[in-house]
Amino acid sequence: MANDFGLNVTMASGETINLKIQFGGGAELLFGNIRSHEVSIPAIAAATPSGSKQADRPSDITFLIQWMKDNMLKEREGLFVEGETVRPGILVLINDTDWELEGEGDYILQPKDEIVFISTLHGG
Amino acid sequence: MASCEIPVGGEERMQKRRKGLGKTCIKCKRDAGALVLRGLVYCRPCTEALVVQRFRKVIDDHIPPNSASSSILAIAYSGGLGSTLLLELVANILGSSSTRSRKHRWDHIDVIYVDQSAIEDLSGYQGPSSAEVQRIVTSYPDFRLTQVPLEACFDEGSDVQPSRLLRSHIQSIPTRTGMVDSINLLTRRLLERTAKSLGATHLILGRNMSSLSIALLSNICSGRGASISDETVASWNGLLSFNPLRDLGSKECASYVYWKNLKVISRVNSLEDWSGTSASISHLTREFITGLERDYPSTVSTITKTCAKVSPRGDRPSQCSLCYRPMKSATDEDSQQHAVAILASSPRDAPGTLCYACNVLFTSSNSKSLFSGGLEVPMPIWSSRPADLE
Repeated sequence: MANDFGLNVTMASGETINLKIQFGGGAELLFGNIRSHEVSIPAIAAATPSGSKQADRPSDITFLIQWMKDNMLKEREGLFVEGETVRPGILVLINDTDWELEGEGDYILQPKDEIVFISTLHGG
Repeated sequence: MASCEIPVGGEERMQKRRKGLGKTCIKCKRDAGALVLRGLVYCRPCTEALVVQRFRKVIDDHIPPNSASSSILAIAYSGGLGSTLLLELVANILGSSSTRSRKHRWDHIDVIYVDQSAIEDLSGYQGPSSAEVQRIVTSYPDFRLTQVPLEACFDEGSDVQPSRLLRSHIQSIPTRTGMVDSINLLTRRLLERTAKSLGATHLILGRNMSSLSIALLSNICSGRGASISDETVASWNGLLSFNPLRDLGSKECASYVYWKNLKVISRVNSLEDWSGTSASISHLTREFITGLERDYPSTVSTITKTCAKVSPRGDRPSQCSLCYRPMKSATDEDSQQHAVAILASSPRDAPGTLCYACNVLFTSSNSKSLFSGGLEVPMPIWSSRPADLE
């Protein structure tokens, strides 16, 4: 895919980042039962509703979660988001690495990143 | 006097989720870390090895390896995370045809799926379709699938359809907590009975450390504390049921399932968005455990390990005729008489003896009016035949 984004921080508003979003463990059931999505999200994030993070910052995972809630989530948002992050029981992998090792919500998204959301809530 | 409050500075001493972790795997000390498990960093191959190793250890603890006689293994499958992983591990680790790794010999491996669709509207749980279940299980060529409806707990010989008996049994339970508890115990009993009828010697359940902790805590809250050890390992009539994933957290289970590209087909209960008074104890416990697991990841294993050490005092010579857990006849005497008095309105299904928790199912305070109206509560096959020791 021809992506010519350069550094995130210098991007003008209106530009987008292409990402691959995957679901596992049943989390896909909240997103139309489709496990793999190619999305294009704004490269510059909006402020969080609580104001904990400012607008005009490069898009990070916190913004991606907000964007998914507004644009992709089909049902029962309480099973995916809690406040400005994912609810406990949703595991996030950034390029196959636990988001706890990547700064969680503060991780700044890069073009072609693969973000995986896995539910651990779908029982025994 | 002892206080329940956290002492000054106590919170800092509790092992909280650590930030700024090292990025190299703690085990192989070579590869980049992929997952943080209870404060420790593991790479993907080491995580996968850990899952296999802990699964195998629990299996070997309960089934003597290299035993001469062959046997039948039953796997309880719900379409959820744990049982999806269980199918994969049994197929690839236990059922492996490589003689080197094959310590156990099985005549058959039966997968049992309990279909709860008859009470979908009451439970709020819309399970996967029969075709979906079939597609997943038949993808493992060595497994035989048995699908059994939950209403099979009730007598087919009667003039009322079993599904209506099941529904009125569930509907006669006044609280949502009791309803969830009852569906769980009917499902478990049906799994055991089906496994036994298939000739199985072992029944394995897909509860991992997290879901087992949820079951243990909510059972204690529901008054099932006396039989808590049976929740982890239970033996009934020559059938041993246990949880081979009990030493694995939900995080490593979920990652393994994702990495192996397995599909979890069970949905989350639609009534479990409920909050406050209308939520069930089991739902509130799940919220508590998943939160605890995120903020204090080492504490969840403490629950299962502590419960494993708990054993009831004295003998438990009798058995509850509904849940079939052992119980202490002397201390439960009062509640038995109470139960018999209440359920005597249903002479056909006159129960034997009920344990404290099964008693509470039907006799919570707001159910009094329900019973005084002389309503019949249909009971499952096994409890209406007290003489039948099965």
